Amino acid sequence: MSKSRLLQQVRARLNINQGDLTRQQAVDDRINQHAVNTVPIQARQSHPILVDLFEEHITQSRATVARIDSIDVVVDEIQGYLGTSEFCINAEVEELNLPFSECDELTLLPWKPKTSMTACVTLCLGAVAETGSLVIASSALNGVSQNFLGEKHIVLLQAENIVGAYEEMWQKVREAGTMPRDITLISGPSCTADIEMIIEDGAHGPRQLHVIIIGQSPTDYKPLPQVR
Amino acid sequence: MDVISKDFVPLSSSALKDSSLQKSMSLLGEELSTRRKLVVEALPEFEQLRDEARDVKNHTLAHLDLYLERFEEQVKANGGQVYFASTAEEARQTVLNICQQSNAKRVTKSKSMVTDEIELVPCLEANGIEAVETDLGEYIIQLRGERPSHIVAPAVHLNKDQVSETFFKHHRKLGFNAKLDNRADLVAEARQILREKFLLADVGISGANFLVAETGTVVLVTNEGNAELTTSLPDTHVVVTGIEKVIPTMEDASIFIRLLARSAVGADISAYTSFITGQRREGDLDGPSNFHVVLLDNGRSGMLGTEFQDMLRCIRCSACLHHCPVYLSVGGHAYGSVYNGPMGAVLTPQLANLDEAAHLPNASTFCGKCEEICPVRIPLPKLMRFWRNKEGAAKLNSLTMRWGLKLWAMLNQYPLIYRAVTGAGVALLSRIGSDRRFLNSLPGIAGNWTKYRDFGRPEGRTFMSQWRERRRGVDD
Amino acid sequence: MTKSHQKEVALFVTCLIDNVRPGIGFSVVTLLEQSGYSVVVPERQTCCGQPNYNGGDKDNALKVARQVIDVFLPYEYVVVASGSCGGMIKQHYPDLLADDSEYRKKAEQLADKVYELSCFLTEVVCFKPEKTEVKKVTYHDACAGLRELKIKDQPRQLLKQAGAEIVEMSEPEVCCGFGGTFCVKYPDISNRMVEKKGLDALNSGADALVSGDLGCILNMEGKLHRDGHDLPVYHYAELLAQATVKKGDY
Repeated sequence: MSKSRLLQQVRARLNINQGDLTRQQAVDDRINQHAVNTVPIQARQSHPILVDLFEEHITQSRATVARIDSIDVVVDEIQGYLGTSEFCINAEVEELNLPFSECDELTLLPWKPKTSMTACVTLCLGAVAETGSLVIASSALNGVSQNFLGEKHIVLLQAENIVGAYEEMWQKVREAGTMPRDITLISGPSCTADIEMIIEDGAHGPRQLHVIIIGQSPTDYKPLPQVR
Repeated sequence: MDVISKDFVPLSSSALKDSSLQKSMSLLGEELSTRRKLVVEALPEFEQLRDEARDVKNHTLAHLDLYLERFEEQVKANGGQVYFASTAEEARQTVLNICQQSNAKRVTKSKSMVTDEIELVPCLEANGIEAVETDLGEYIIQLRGERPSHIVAPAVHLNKDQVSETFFKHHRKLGFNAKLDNRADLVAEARQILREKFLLADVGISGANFLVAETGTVVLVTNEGNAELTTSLPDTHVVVTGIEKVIPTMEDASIFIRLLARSAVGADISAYTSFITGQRREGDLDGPSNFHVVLLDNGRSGMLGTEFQDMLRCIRCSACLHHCPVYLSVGGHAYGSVYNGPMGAVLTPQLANLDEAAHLPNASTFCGKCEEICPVRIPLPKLMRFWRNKEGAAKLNSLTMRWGLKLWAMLNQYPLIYRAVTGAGVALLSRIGSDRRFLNSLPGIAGNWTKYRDFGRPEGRTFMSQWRERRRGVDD
Repeated sequence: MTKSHQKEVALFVTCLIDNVRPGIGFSVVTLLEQSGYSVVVPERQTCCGQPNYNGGDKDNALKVARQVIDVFLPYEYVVVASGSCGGMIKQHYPDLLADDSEYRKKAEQLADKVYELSCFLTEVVCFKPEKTEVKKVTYHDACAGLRELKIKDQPRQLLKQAGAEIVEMSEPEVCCGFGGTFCVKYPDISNRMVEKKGLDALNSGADALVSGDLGCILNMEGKLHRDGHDLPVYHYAELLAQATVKKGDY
């Protein structure tokens, strides 16, 4: 069996004493403890600073950001960004029951699998400020491809879901129970520098990424402590 | 692994005369070293992260069998399948079987150096399966029938006009008749063509930047979005990657996410970093129903427990390429291997063989810049030296070299004879060509020096003989 | 022979300086004597073993290394005007002799005693050089000295104290393409590297190109001369010791 042959080869090379149980213990310990390593200090700041940091990073990567106080004005913001346009939404956004029908300039089309779209509006789990990264996850309410097949991608981000470091996201995912099939950090529009090292947007994913940050920072946010 | 590294000398000589390539390499070196410097300076924890990355990798390698087993367990628990391929042929066959079992006719591929290493695409195509590279750089070189010249930016050796010609030649049959000279238009045309491929693919094949044992997760780092379209649209996702990619936990993955894009392209993070754990869950709106991971050995386990083990820490960031004056002088194709630059100089003799690849660890000045910037602190020059030792021991290097070194070392150990020989040598050299300060021609292998530069004539008497004379004068 | 009351330093000449440019060796002696040290030059020294070490001939490198250790270990200070030979002795000997418990220990002891010249002059001596006649210099950071021995500021500090202005190249730390046997095994690539280095030096506007390793110096000087440029190339020891610089020879 190729598995046993390969692993036997690995063990022989490492000169393993098969009776050594400490190795398995070391592996189990490391995995069970999933200890946090060094977290950059820029990821461990007060929440309002993290929101600013998130915006700074993602706009540096050529996304655009708008901040609104409440979801009540999100349709206006979306219309302001898209102008007169067709667009789709994912099921998560559908559940918000936003009054798109009241907006004449926007034409909401039903989402079809494996179909390109002019624009798609989605939600996200949150965002990581240290690198300006939105966090999306696959689910019954969000298809990963919905985040990639639109020419323009608009993401609704609740301010309170912004965290400083990746580790805070992993912790949230652990608390939710199981890993989704796909978690993607989106840190800018799709781009490539494969031709003469100059960045062009819209390689295969969205050409434009617009993030609408909704609401204010929570008052009870605690940045990750430095453990080392 | 098939290589043509024996041709390093003629390939590098033509590369040096290729002005378009030289321009591309100049740009690559300047841009990426500058960008890396800026982002590293902006992250005070960078050096600490390098230490942690090295330590995590070392720990994982020391327990590699157990982490691979744990990874497999997790993938299977999520409904996926894992295959262990000892050789390139086994890996190719495994992927081919998976494709054939699902009657796949069309495959999309996101970038994977391992699939280049095992030459997977020609195998699929020979069996009637269309396999399209979707990373723009890989797509371009697939059209041109070339090997990648860089492990992250495979088409970096080309300029815009060359890409334009390639697209014009190959896209006409698809109905695209304009010759484009604008970069944005070239990208847009590729986007349009590949979008169709993504939507129609039966199987998506990806590599993996990292494998997380804790959760059975595959980490993919890209900028284009092709990895996500390759892995979420088709009904089957196949991951092909090396056994050394596994790391313990998601928290450990965070160290590498912080290091990879900074080292590779001088960005804090790439546009997309995906963590893929198996196939679609019940209710998911997209994603594959079948998830397969092929773990490849192909010579990697042979480095464990040897002086080359450090090389298994490599995360394929390509920072060593961008800072290597040899790579930047000749480009990647001169190496004759899909793995080039300093990392390729160490890896290629292992995955191919030393006899074929001996030039690669020899074509280095050991300047040490690669080791200085490697995010996982691989002592690349030291590993190249180990290859040179093996080459010497196996007598694969030239007789002249071996005997020249033996003679030099013998002379070193007999100072009186050494002084007589070298003293005579420099006295002779100092008398050649009248009293010109420089010699412009030297015999034998030293002629390779004077091929391009002059040699400042030795002063005529050695320091040691002059010193002895001065000391005699003083002591009298 | 009168017994000197001065502190003593042993000089590791290096094979290149010994055979090709002894004048640099005498500049080093001048500087050490000006620092208040008497200089001893052990007779049984030849080469540090780098060509064999880097040429895949570990066995012979070991023999040469043991000899160097035997010759130099008795001294309190050993000074070498070369980052690559210094790095060989300080960094690589302990690695090379890892399996030889007796000599590994000796190698570590010797490593503590070995100083590259500019390190010795700035860290042990606090040397104050006299004025150099060269006004504007650009400095090439030889690779081993830079990366193995962390030589960066030391020669620049000394040159500035000697009244020279340092004008940096755009890439002072990039390899000049010498690399020992590399320059004759891969001459075309080596040529490209030294060509770039030469142009970088010329563009700096300096009156002279300075470095701390004779291999690099011969390489850069030879290329500049072949291409018809009259930018002189010196070892910093020559400038600091007021060695006569014969511009007319170029």
